[in-house]
Amino acid sequence: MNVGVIVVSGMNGPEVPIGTMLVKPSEVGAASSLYGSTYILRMGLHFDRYVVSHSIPGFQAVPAIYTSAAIAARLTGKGRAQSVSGNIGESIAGLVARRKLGARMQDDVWPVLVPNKKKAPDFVIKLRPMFPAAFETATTMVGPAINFSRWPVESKAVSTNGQATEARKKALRQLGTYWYERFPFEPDVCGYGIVVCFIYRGTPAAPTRVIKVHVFTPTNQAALRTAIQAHRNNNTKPQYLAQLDDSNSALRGHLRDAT
Amino acid sequence: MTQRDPKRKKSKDDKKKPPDRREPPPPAGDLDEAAGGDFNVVNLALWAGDLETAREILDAHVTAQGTQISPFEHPVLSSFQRLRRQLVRRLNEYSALAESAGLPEELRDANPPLQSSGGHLRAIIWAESERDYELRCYLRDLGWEREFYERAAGLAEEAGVAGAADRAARRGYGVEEAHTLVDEAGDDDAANGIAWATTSGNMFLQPEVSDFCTCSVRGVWTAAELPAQAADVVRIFQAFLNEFDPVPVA
Repeated sequence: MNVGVIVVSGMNGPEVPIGTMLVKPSEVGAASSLYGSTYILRMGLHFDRYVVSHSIPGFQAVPAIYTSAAIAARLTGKGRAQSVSGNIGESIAGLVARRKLGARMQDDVWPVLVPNKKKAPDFVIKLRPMFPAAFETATTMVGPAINFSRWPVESKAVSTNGQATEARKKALRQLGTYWYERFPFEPDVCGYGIVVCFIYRGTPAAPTRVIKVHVFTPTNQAALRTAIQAHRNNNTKPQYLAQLDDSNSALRGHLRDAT
Repeated sequence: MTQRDPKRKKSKDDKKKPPDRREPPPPAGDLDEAAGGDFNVVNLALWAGDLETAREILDAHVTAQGTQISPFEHPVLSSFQRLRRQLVRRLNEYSALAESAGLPEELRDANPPLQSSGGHLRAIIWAESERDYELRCYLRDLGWEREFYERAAGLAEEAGVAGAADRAARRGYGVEEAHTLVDEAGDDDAANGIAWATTSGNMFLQPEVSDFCTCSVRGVWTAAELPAQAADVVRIFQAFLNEFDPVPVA
């Protein structure tokens, strides 16, 4: 399966294509079995059926041999397991980080374990360099001072662009929670985060298969930090998150390409 | 490892906290980087099923079970704590399952891992049927990551997979020097691609190396007669490990 990878500034800012990523179902399976939160054997096979990876067989397909491209995707009598899609979503960022974002050391990729996964990103990842050239081009931030050690990274897999929009909003909330909770220990990470979103189907009118790497950066980190500190002092985390959800809020205005 | 009741009552620490006005504590050790390598290895060990190594590392990092560590202050140490709790819960569940299934006592303990003769790899064999096995192998020593991929690519090339070494080199796993995405701007026209097929004795083996320092080897026993004893299967996988990571030549 050959998928285009695009770096995007913020929610819907400038885009920078960074080539394609060829991924076999077994490779997604390996990432999912390591980083997915649900225990599923043979994740690669599920991925192949759900996504139509078109990776086997190598020879010309014949009707007698059922591959995901030929038949499995049309088995509409049964529902798809949410946990399978979830596992794919949770692990795709690890693969993208290793293949495309310079996480060349195994120890660069850490899965985050918290009691409630909705409150934290899936990974914290060290990139090499920490602000790659494609990030600079997309955000127009050249050589920013990166004083934090790892990017918080949220990972999603969805079937359509509409679902991707919703997924990005949820992911931003998770990043925002990380900035809030991590503030006393690493205030320099405020406003920085990555959301990797794998869109694998699209609609019949607009079929889509792409991996988008949304890079969130602050336009005014000082103001963002002041706002977070104020909410922490007043113990108003729900209000903070509500403002983050509101694309017209002043808080969102402190993030680049996030309104 | 001490086993605790997973349904313990909530402590007073679980009550809602007052507004957070505390002074920032001393730096949190840069996200617990010092323990990060061990954290990665624990995840790999658990993927493989190597409970012995996982417990050894967890016990070295988590001594006080009662004190809740904040996941945002110390994400790695907190994760160690959480993993340990989860393992205890799973052990309790497994004990009940094994008892209800009437599993003989001698089959209930976790298997000790296989180790490569070079010392960098550990692995567990999973039996899926009388003929189908999977060796789950992982890198115990993350400092050997570059060599792990170089060795795997070399084995793949020997087995006839052209270009495996080139692809592994381009990927650059285990090499700390930074590179920019400009270097990768071309189409990634080859997957990691370190997978090959080989035979060893009565087993047909299909090793595949992932992007995360793991190697899964699917093995099929091809002889008409099934293996007479476990050692017949173990020997083959041990030989594979030793070929992958041999004793260094002086």
